[in-house]
Amino acid sequence: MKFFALVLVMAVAAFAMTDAAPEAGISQPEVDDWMDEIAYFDLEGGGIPNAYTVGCGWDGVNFWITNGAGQAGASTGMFYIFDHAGILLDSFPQNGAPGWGLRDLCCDGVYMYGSVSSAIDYYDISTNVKVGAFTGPISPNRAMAFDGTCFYTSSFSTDVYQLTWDGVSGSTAANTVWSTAATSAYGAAWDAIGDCLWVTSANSTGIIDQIAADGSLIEHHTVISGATWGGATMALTVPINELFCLEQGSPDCMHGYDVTPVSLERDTWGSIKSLF
Amino acid sequence: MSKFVSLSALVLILTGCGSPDGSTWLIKTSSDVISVAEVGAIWNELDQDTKIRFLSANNPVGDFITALGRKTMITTEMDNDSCLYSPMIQDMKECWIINSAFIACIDTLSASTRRNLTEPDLSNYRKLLGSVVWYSSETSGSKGPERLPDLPWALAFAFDSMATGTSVEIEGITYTLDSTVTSPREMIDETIADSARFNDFARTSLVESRVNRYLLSLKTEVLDTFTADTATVSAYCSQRESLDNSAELASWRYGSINAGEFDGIAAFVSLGQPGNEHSLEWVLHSLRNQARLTYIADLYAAEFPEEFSSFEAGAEAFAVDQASELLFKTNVTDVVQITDSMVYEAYIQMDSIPLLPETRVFESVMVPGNIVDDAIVLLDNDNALLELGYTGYTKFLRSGNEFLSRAVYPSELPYEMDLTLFLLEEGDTQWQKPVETEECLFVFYRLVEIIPPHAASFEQMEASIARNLQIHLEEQRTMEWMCELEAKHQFQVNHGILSDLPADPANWSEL
Repeated sequence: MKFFALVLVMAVAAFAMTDAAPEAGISQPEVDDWMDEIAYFDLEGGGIPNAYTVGCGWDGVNFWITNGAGQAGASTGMFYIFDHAGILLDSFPQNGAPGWGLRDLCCDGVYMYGSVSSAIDYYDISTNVKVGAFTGPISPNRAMAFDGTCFYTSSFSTDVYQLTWDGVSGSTAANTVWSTAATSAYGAAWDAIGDCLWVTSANSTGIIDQIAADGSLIEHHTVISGATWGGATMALTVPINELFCLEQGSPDCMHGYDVTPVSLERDTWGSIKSLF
Repeated sequence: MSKFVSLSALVLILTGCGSPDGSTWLIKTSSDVISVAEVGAIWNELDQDTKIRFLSANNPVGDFITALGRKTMITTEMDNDSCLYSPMIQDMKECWIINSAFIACIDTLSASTRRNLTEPDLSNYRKLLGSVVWYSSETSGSKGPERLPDLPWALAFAFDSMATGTSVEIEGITYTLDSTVTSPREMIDETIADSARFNDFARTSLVESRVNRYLLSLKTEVLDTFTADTATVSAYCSQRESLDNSAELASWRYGSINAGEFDGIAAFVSLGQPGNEHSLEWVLHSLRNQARLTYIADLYAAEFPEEFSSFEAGAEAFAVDQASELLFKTNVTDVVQITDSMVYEAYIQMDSIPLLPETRVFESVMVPGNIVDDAIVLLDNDNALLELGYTGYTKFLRSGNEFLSRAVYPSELPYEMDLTLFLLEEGDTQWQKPVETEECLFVFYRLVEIIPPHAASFEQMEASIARNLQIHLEEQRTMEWMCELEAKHQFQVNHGILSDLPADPANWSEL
């Protein structure tokens, strides 16, 4: 026990020598079972220089993270590209998106789509260049998802719109109210394996809504009590279906599933598990 | 314990003078013998991250051999304990295969659809680009909005030349064009002018719409015969423990799912996303979806049996991983029980109580962007902000309080708020200009209390102590468990030959 006490004192002393918040006395958020399995990466610690990160998309290989650098005084928002393990690979400016910049993102395999106004901009994922824009039903079209045929968008209300874009730059997408089951949406992700839409909430409830393909509510999942979510995306790299959600927190971070078991972090057991 | 300590403390100094034969045994248990060459081959197959994990330790080779021996015993335990072959693990493995087949099915369909696209397909897409239609038919009711060029060509070209409200018969089905919207010609021409991007977009659109249409038809096919036993599903959600594993929850023409099988499905789904086995809607959705995935996976297996069987190796590795985690939980995590008295005992035995840095308490009101201007004029009006009908900064609220925060450290607070709050003097209780902490959410705040650096109380240390104690005792219990396994499986390392082996295990496979 003396040994343990010594370790604890040393750990607390180490906190005092860093800029990190001491954990002692700080209440931890409530988490559900899913969060026990998560991958977590700190976007600010990972290289994004301010706290205005809002949306995310998956281009099939990497995450695209949107940041409202305009809120921090820059002339445009930024894209940051992170790999699946949370390593920052690249960054480049959004095409003159002011303030909070582009919000949530979605990808159709050719373009990455995001919105800063009623326009939905699209960027070529092979060149990172903005190609064009079309008009959506709300301003901005915060949550963005794509199911292979239709787009879905929503904002700080309960309505989720289904959009059909004709593929013409500058056109207005046809839309219908597809669901009223969301909770103050910020992000969305179409889940092809789960046959449902995930919608993250920005109202500090930590809710993630799961909505069936017919627009009906499957479940309000409360994932991190009190959390404010940003964007959401599926990131399929293994047969396990991965939902990643961006938390607008302190710091901004990505939560998701990681194929690397938490147990690898344990000393003895981690050494054994690394050989399986 | 002493046996373990002697093993873990073993320092393997390898000089490499005169090497034994590769077939000489290096690790032995009552059921397995691993030779020097085999250990070398396993080392060579490790990925770089795993090698670095061992190489960064004080005794890389010794740690590797020890861990490999333990893995061998764990593998035997998993077989003996029937953990690997438990219904739960096997059902999760089945889900892994089904998901793999579903993904492979989409990839295969997409590749073949893309391969079969022709120049006339792109030409047709170009001709029809810019129109979205709503239509209806006797068989599928009202449809749309849909991109015109994503429809089958015969129907798309028929609609292109029809007036709204008129009908056409295609392959015996009558379709009525209900509405159409077309973009301006100059915008269409401009989009088409970038021919490389247009072709890319058109190909992707055609592939995705055709694959989605096919998958939707399969979903309809399977769900047409799908029936869930709602009473049994309700019982599963509310009283799982009283429901037999064999109780059937749902069936369809080609299969069924019982309660035991759904335990594995739910565990698998919850690996990657939120789940709720107590929610009737969630369970019903998951049952329907599993029927869909299973049906499509079965079709893939029938069409591509060789590819399907190739998923087995990956599924087996997944099952082993899950089983080993289950074994660890049973033998370590569930065994370690931290009590309040243990945590308190650890606290009072601390040699010195850590000094916590200064914290501050604040009062706040969090308002949406559309009323922030109205709120700003109330900054000098003592309690008026509190009466606006909004609560405080949710993330930091003291339990049971609407406006008052718990004690916070500056590094916890968002940009700007940290600096301002921690520069305020004691007694300065003026409301501060709001900070936009999240988009369209503004926090007004004022200082309430400064708590100077102080020795941590038990309440402040409790969570940290409990967490560290759990990790410490889990490590201790893991070591005890390994000792038990070493005795049970007669674990041995051939220490005598170690000093004669080359220093780098990468060379052992060639001996």
